[in-house]
Amino acid sequence: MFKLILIRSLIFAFLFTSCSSQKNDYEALINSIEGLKSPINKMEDDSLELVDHCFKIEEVLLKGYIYQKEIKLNHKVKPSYNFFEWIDKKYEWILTDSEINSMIGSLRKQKKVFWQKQKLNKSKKNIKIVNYQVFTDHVVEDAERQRRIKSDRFIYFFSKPVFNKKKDIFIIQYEILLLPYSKMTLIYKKVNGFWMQIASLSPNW
Amino acid sequence: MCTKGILNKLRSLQQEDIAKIIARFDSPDMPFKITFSQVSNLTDTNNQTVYGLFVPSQTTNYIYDIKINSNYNGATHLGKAAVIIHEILHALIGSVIQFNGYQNNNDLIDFPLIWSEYVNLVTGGTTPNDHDFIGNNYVTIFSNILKEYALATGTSADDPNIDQICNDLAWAGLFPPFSSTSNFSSLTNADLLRISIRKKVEMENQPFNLVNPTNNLPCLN
Repeated sequence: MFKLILIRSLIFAFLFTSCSSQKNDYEALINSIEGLKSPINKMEDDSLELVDHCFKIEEVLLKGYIYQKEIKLNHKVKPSYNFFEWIDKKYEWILTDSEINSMIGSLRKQKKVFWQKQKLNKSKKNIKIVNYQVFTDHVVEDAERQRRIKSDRFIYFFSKPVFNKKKDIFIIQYEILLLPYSKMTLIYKKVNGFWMQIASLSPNW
Repeated sequence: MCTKGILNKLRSLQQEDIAKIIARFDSPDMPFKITFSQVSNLTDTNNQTVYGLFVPSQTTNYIYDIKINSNYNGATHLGKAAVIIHEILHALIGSVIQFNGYQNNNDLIDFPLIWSEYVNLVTGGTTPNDHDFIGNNYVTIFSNILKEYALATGTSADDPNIDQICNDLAWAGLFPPFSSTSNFSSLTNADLLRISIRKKVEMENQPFNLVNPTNNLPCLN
């Protein structure tokens, strides 16, 4: 009997943390999407196409954060790649090395996730989930690219967000399919109950 | 070696700014040491492929490595020259920042804009990132260097759009092309798109979105 209760409790705990983690992921995704403008003309857009699954942020990004932080805080000469840009100075390099290391640990356990349309209903944008398509035929790819550049409507491919332990900061990445040099990294922090973008890292090219 | 050939050609240009920069790094009286290396699959901290990187030694002053992505061997001469000049400008900024206190230092006279940024740095001010600084102060100089390189080597010098191409390649790499905000208000959205495409076609030496690369020989190594 005791065993049964224990197993039930464990299952419940697993489901609870799994759902809670999913809820966090969707909240992070929706907040990141809200601020996006169309990539060419920088127009507000009330709809967006989203790849149906997320990719995993590479560990090298988080290790790079520690490396950049060390260079900036010690006023060393910077390499030429872009550094994290902080929107508000008070949050500069807010993530500690230990938080980053714990985030790297959680990255290692990450599994592939498919976004579910109904869980994105809270977004102000109308989100259309699309299958990830690899254009192996260059003619098709070129034609599609020209069509999308002309209409300034693209497909966004988001990473699964990675949170700090307190779950009040997350890092997320996205890229815009068919546009070169488009992979952006964003850092958000929860301030007074609202998610606020505090930093971005632009692609270097 | 094509890349080395471009570098040697840049050394011989008469344009005052590049001559001054190259002399700085070539002079035996100066402490700087720049090495150029070709690296495959070169990426930035965003894990995105890059064409070139300037990497200063984090342990010893005045030692810099300029890495060129060897996956893009085959880029046009103009594209590769643009990458090299871009990274040399980063080296220039880094070297002025580190050079303070060295004997025979004329940086205040030779590179006053960078010097003022250095003063800003040591007094605890916020320095702009290198790309903002280059965009605000060095694009015309960069473009003129590239144009002189094109004329001196006959590299697409007869292209009717050579001025625009050199200017676009000077801008390339200085801004995030498709983020929601732009660092440079002087560039229109159409400029951002055209510049991004120009860099891509020159580095891959292939048409992209109906734009052709300049018609000059690929730089194979």
